[in-house]
Amino acid sequence: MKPKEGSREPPPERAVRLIWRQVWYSALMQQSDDIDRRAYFKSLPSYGPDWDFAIEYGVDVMMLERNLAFSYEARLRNACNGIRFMAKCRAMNEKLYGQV
Amino acid sequence: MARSEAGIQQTERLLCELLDAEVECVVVGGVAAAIHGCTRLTEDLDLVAPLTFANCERILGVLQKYRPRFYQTLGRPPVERDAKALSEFKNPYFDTQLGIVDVLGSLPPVGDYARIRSRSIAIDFEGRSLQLVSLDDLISVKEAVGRPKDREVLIELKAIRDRLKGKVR
Repeated sequence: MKPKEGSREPPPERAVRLIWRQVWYSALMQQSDDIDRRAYFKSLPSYGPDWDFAIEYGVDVMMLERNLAFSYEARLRNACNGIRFMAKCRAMNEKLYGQV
Repeated sequence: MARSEAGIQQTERLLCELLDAEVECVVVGGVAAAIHGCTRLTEDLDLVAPLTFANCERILGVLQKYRPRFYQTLGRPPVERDAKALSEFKNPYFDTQLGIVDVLGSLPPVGDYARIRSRSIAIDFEGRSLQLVSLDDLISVKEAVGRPKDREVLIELKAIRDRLKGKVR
């Protein structure tokens, strides 16, 4: 079945292949202890050359997806929580090794 | 990572205080990258602001309460200058009890405050309107600076731009 002219939808066979690949890789990743997840990320839909390059570079694009699901305000709050957590880690480090 | 006098950067509080004092500014740098969705953590708050007498007065009005010091001057001397003297600076960089604030008058290659502001986006933050540098401008700046430490952020920002276009290939 051919897609309608001008339609951005992928052809059905490709969509089925993509979904199948995602299901297969997701199941695989649940069992995998491999920290290099590029193969898995490459199985997900691609959004463009920069997206693909980020995956190849080692960026955790699932983390980007997760961040983008938050509002701008929530992202800022998350970043600030991260900074506070880092400060606590630093304090623990200073307790362990003394202030440099 | 930069460390403030107080140890913990309080970016949210800094922003709230600056916005409440009606300081004209656009958030840029690592904090802007985080708001756009980057995963990297950054501590200091980078702002582009018009370094006019009135705006410097408002900035000082906020920061004076938190023992400001010049962050990158040897010995970190306390900020004892008035708004007029400060408005002659191109890039005042403060260390305060709430954290580090880097105020830039312009951001090459994008341009001055007016240009960055005209292309910025307004976001809601704690019931206030916060101006955030546009994703395209932030990418241009990171590309122009070209420091190795910016490379990962740049790659993430470009990936985010692809993702926001949302076209599955």
